[in-house]
Amino acid sequence: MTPQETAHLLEQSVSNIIRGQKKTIRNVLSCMISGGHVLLEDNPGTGKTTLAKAIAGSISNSQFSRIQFTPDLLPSDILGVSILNQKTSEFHFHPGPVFADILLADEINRASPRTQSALLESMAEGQATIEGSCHSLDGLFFVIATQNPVEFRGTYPLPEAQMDRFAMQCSLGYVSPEEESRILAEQNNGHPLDHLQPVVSLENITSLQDAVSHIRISDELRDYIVALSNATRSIEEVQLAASPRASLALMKLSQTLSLFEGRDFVTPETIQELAPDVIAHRLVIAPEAKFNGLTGRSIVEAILEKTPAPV
Amino acid sequence: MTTAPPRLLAGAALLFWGGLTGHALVGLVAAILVEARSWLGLRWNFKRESYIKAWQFAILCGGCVVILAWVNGVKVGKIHTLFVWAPLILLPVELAQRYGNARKIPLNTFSFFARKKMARDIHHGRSISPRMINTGYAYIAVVILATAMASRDELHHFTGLSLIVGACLFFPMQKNGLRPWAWGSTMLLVLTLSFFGQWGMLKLYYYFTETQTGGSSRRTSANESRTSIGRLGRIKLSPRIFWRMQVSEGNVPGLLRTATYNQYSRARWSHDYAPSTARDDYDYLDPTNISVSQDRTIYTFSPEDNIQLPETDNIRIIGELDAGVIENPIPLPHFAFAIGDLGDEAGIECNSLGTVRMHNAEYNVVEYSVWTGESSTTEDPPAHQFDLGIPAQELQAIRRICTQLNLTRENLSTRAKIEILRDFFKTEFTYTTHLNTPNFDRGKRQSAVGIFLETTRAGHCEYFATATALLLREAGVPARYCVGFSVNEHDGSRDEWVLRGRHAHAWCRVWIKGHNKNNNVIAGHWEDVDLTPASWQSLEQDISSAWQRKLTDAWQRLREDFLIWRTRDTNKTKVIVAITIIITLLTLWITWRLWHSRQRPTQSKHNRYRRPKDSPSTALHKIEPLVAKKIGPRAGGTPLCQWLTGIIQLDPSLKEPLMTASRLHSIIRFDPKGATPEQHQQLASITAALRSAIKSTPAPNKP
Repeated sequence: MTPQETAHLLEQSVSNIIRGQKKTIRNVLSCMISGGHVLLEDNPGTGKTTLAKAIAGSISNSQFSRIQFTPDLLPSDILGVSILNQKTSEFHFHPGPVFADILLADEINRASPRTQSALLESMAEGQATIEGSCHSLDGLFFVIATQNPVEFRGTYPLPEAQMDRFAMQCSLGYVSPEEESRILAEQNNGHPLDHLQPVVSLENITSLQDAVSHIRISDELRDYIVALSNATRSIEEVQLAASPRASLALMKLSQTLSLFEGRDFVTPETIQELAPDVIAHRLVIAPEAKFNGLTGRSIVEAILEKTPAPV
Repeated sequence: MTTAPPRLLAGAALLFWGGLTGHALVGLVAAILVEARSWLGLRWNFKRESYIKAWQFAILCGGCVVILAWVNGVKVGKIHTLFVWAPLILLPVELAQRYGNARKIPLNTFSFFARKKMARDIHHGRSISPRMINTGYAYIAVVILATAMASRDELHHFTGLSLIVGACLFFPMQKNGLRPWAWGSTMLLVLTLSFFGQWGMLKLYYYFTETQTGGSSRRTSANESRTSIGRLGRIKLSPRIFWRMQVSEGNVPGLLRTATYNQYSRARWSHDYAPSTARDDYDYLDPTNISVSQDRTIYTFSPEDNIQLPETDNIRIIGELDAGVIENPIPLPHFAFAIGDLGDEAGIECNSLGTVRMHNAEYNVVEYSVWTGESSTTEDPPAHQFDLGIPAQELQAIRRICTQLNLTRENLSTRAKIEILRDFFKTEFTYTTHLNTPNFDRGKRQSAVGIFLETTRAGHCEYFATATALLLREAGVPARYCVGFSVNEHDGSRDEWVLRGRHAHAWCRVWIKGHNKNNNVIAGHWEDVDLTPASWQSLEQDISSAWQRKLTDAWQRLREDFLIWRTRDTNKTKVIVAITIIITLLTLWITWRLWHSRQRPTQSKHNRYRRPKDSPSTALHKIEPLVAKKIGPRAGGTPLCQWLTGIIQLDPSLKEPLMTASRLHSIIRFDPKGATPEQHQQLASITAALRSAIKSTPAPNKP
């Protein structure tokens, strides 16, 4: 199976479950393949959990975990804990849900910052340090975190460092009435997830990840990515601008998306398509500018308009 | 306040300012400094403190301008004229903004309290984000206002102003999509407001200048003196030093005469003359100058040709001219024979009453030498129609007093008449500067002297001098009224006589006939007659405290002595050299500091995208102008292929070839592996077909 075929099968399988979200599905899958993590910020009932489950269900032998973040959740509830076996008088490590291929961190902003930061090391370095010993997170390890943009009572906004760990933040949004009608019809006799069959294996995903590194990107487009990130650093309303990690994520995601689009090189259109999802959530806007309605996304869109694109 | 003005606009405004204010070279240098930013790569990463320093430097420059102006004699009332230098004073701030990487200045730079608040916030660890502004347009507005302050050429000013305002409106509007009607209407409104604004300002200017030269204020001019006769309340006289006199030898004159008048009417003395004399259209007598040495020129006033060279000067007078009066009368002692050391450009002239006027003085503070002789050569003999005239309103009262004093009887000599009057004033009148009698009101000013003589019998020197002059005239003695200073305060530490405002005095000049041995009248001379009771000097007390007066006097003397010292030729060179050295050192120091702190522009190549020279140009690039005609120009941030899809809306049949062409274009342009010759050829042929198809595509209908 060629990488393009793998990408196509995976995309098709998830699209069969989540209707009318083709672009977002492709972006989320690109994020997974590129080794990043995604933050889904959307209203309840738009399919965030279903998307995570659909991705997990499409990959054979993949381990899927779900953590419902609550204020009383502890780091050990995520990472795992060593328990004394009284028979052998030895501690046995019981891995937490973080040891999975696909981790759904539902309503991540409801947990305390201490618990939220327990994910930091895992997301950045693919390992978890528990009680002094380091445990490697083998396998895919793709975090899909969700948060509700409407309800803020009893929530803890994610710290800037953690936001930067997410390669991308996107939203599913409401589908069109036609698609919604189709969803209703399909779920009349059970949820499509119940009939979901894996279409690719973890090995296929690994080879897909290898193939991404061979997607070509010209120096000119690398400069363009840097120019976009750099532009956020000279805007007075932005208190915290895009980091080099943002540039790196944008490049990797552009390569992956190009592969999903069937090309073996990156174009400026791909970069422009991804830039708002990759950069906007990392920007910290000055309070008065935020009050005036300025958002990270509008800033990135303005930058895309002003920064001359390679032609 | 956040957008920068377009290139060359500030430079043009500065050239406009230089051209109309007479500082063309300065304007040119400033314009070059401001606009050179566009051509130089020099930039500085100025910190907040640097902008504050630039602002403080501008304030310092402003202070220097005010001090220099004050030293040069510009009065507080004329301080607004200094605004003409505002473009240069604010130049450091503008240059800091233009050559700084930020291109904007924190707004709190301009407020001491806002800066303090920010420092407090930083100290307490609060996050601060001061509002950043670009002062480009504000600076242009200041330049325009400064030009308006100095410009007298209305047409050129209005034309230049219109062009600059038009450009200021045009470029921001062009940025946001120019609407010619909106621009035209705004321009019309601005020009109309400018025209009427300028017209109003000119009217106001002429009103003020005309009323000033017309003498509504109580300044002493050679032609008119408005007295305080008939005014109620206390006459307040300034304790400020007006003139200082140094007498090297001979007697100290008791009075220094500034101006003489011969016509009285309604509390106003004026000067009139008979036009039939040699001084036809204007009553003046040019001086005859005698050069004693290379750097000393002495002027004498005499219609005669043979003038004896004067001996050494015996009096030196230092003081400040009134900047509001064009031709200042200067105080001179009785029998002043010659005047010298006036300065290079100053000139003097004298009228038939002996009032000497100085004009064209280089500075307001002047120093001159006076030679006194045995007789005055500057006063004409009496002209009876002027020197014996009595106004009708006062005539009855004057006659009654004359009759009462029996002044008109025959064989009474002039001196005897004076003595009778002296005795009359001394015994029956009191000196006062405070008039508040029920018999006085504003409407009775025209007969105020009569009321003074018959009813109140109290007044100040102007009453006594006017009454004396009119009574003597009624008694047949030609008399004139003169104003000046009484010399009665001696400063022993500096050996000079001080003439303050409260020493200002009025008295009479009386014609004393000369007689030969047979008692025949042969000639006569003018003599000072002051019948004001001697007690007036003790009554004019200084109300300010001693130390305050001493401080003010010392400061005034220091300033005047410095100015006098500076005006001497040898010292002028020293001053210029010293100022040049200071400015040069300061400039070198600032330049050295700036040069060492310069930085490359922060705008890296990433912000200024240009297609790399080695990147191939595809056939699709060449149809961009053609497509732009159909769907409008491509925005800089829009990729070519994405923009080209706009043509599909006009002709959906183009979708297929356009997609293929876009794919090939992307391969050629962005695939580091490169494209094959076949792909190049294929793109060329598809683009050729697209070109002909697009040409035949109708342009969209404009709404």
